[in-house]
Amino acid sequence: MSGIDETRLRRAFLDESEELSQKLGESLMALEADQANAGLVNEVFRLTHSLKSESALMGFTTLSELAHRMEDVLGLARDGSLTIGKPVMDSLFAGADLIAEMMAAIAKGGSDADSTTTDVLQGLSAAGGNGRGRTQASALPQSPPTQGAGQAAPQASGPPGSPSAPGAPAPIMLMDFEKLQLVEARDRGEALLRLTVSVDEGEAMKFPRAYLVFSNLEAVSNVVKVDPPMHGETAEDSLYGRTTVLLTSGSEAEVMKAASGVDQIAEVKIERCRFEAFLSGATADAITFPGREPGAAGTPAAGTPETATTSPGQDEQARRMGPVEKTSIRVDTRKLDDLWSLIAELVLHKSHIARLSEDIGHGKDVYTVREELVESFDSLDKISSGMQQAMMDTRMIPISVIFSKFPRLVRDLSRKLGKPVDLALSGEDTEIDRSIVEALSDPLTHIIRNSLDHGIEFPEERVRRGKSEKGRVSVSARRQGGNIVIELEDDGRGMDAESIRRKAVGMGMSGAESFSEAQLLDLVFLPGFSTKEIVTDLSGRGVGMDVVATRIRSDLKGDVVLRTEQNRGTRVTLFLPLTLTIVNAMLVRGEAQLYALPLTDVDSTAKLAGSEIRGEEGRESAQWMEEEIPVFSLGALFGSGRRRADEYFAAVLRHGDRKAYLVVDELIEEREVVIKPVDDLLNSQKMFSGVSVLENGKLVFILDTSFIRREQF
Amino acid sequence: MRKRYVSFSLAGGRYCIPVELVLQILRLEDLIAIPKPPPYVEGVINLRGDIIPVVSLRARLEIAGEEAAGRGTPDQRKRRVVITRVGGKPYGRDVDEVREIVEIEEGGITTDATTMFGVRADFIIGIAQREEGVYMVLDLPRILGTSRDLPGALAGQ
Repeated sequence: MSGIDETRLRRAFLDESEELSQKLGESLMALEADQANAGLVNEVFRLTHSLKSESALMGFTTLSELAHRMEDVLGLARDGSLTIGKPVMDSLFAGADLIAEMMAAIAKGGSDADSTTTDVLQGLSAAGGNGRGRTQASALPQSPPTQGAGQAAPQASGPPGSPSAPGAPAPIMLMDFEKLQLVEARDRGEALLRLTVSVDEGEAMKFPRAYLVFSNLEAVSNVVKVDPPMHGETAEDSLYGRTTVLLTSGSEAEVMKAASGVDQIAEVKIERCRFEAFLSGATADAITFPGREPGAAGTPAAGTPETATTSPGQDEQARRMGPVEKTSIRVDTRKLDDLWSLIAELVLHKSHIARLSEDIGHGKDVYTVREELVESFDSLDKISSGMQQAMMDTRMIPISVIFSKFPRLVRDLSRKLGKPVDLALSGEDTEIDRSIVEALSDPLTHIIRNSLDHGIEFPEERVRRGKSEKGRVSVSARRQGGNIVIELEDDGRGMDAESIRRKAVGMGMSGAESFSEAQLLDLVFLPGFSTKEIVTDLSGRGVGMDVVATRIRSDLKGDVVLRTEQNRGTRVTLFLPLTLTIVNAMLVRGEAQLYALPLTDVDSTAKLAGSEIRGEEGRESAQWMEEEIPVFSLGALFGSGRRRADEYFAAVLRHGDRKAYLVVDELIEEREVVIKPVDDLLNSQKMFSGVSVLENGKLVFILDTSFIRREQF
Repeated sequence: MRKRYVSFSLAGGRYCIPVELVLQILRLEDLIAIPKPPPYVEGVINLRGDIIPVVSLRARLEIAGEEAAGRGTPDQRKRRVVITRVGGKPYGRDVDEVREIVEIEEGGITTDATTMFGVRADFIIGIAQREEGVYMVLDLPRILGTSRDLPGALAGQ
């Protein structure tokens, strides 16, 4: 694959195939539920076919063969010669899983060949064999029918360019627009070349090889016609044993380079043709065999067979590379359209302002110009915030990206555990920042796994408790103000808060005797608390919940709350910020420094009389509504201490179910701030989630309000 | 082999750092003060939207007493912040005056007697003798690399 950036190709391959692989999983789930649906069979067939071609192009032969075998089975189902049942579905699921595994390995810099395919391939063969076609499925991937290969072989060894050689290429019929391309190429002074590409006779899959040559050619030349065609409904694989490519190019050397260097290619024959032969008369003969120009014969073809076959070892080397970093994203084109229309407006205003400055030059009344300027500025202001919003929107993707994995997860777990479970998903369209989405997948999976493992009871037990035999797990997402709220709920056995209390007291946790139920349940998120033996006591829940809490609270600046009722079920609610890059915040001042409090964490603002604050310094508290909540102050946290006064301004902060007063010197305004990471050197106490610079150059530290949960400072 | 170094002066002493570690040199006026900075942090600088801490070399090298010892106060107009890249992250450090690029033979750096200038010897790779005088070659990663090494915090302990 000389001259092509392999890493870039791999990245493109992964982008494309990961999506295909994900869709494959989803379609299989749909097919399992509706096995007679021919549309779904077609869809799955199409997906495996695409995966096959894509991976073959990249030389991932193990992956490609696996996809090919799945395609075979699906082909039988499509023809009606195989009835889809559990064995078929299981073998397809196994195949899809293995493909996902291979893809993950490739992304990490490994190879598809690291996975063992024997079992899965056997499963597929067996599944296919159950159909009318007996062992047809396993027979297919073997050498294709002799017809195509037999035709290619003599041609490959035949005298180059001999018009009457056996197995001569099929006539190339050109359409009008293709002829037009030739005329243009001729006028540009390019050469017209016909290439005959022969794939190794022993190569089981010829199309991918031929396609690779074709796409290499397309990159360096103007391909006019390919026979058999490379796009659209693909023909029988064996037909690609020999492919004829008609192209025009300014550099024969480049074409040769592009055509060589693909392995499993037996020969590439290049002939230079006369344009006239294709443009004049329409007789099949003239079109099929345009006279070669003297001297061109043989020369290009001479070196080709050698360079065409690279050693497989080298190929293997190329495939094992470093991990591929994801650099491209998919964006809904409508979002880009929005951005585009804003840019169009921006350009309009730019010329308007340019005209205004000319007007001043021409002595136009300054006041009129000024008014127009103000108007123009207002519009620019709107446009720029619109653009900011539109740009933000491109970062947002629907949460269905994660949710779509859950049906499969629940299906597998429910089978494995012998607990029938219905899964209800809602709010999949809810959009969330893509960086958050990526970090959410693991915690959500974990919580669902917990629900099925420990929450949902076995059918007999459920019936005994007067519940339906089938368990129910629901996952929902919705937007609530500046937050995304995700709820995961099950109707399992729930937890007993009192047994958590006993455990906490037993562990010597101070104050556990008087903890509220909410406080008790929050203990499940503590690292030391959710160990296995304790959890077993607590009706088995919470293993690894500390990891979930860390991810949600620290990494994603969100919160997680658990509510449970014995014998009724458990609900885990995640609160997540919409995005991690821009926050709506309340700007406050403490001594000479500005701080930003994320609005999602500000419950309200209040005036607090000095006499309302009780308790010793460092552990002060005051009444808020019905509860007594801690009082912090910016002065004490970051400055020389809280100055004494009769009355204070304070913001009521909330983090999860905790609340606290934060005394500030001044409440300034609400505004958006762009979060920049803050260096550890400035944040050794981890009090800030970021830092921001205002238009006037002033620095604002963005407070991480989770500090109100801390015991010590 | 000769290597290139950026030389600068600080409290009367001559120092240098490898040229490839220097990202940019900014005026000290660009420094944004932060209240109650942690020890050794002079403030921050806004480098194309990134907020970069500026570490006080003077404090870090424990040469704060040098001015008192009569080396004179630096010319404020000549003071600069040298932005360097250590451990993949940019950090700024303040210097009195950036002088020039000097070339030093790799073997020309000796490691003895580094304490004679009264700075912390463990932050100096060695000294290089040149016609115009002696340069101390700083060990940047050690000086600014890890924040763990820097005690205290904004809370002002």
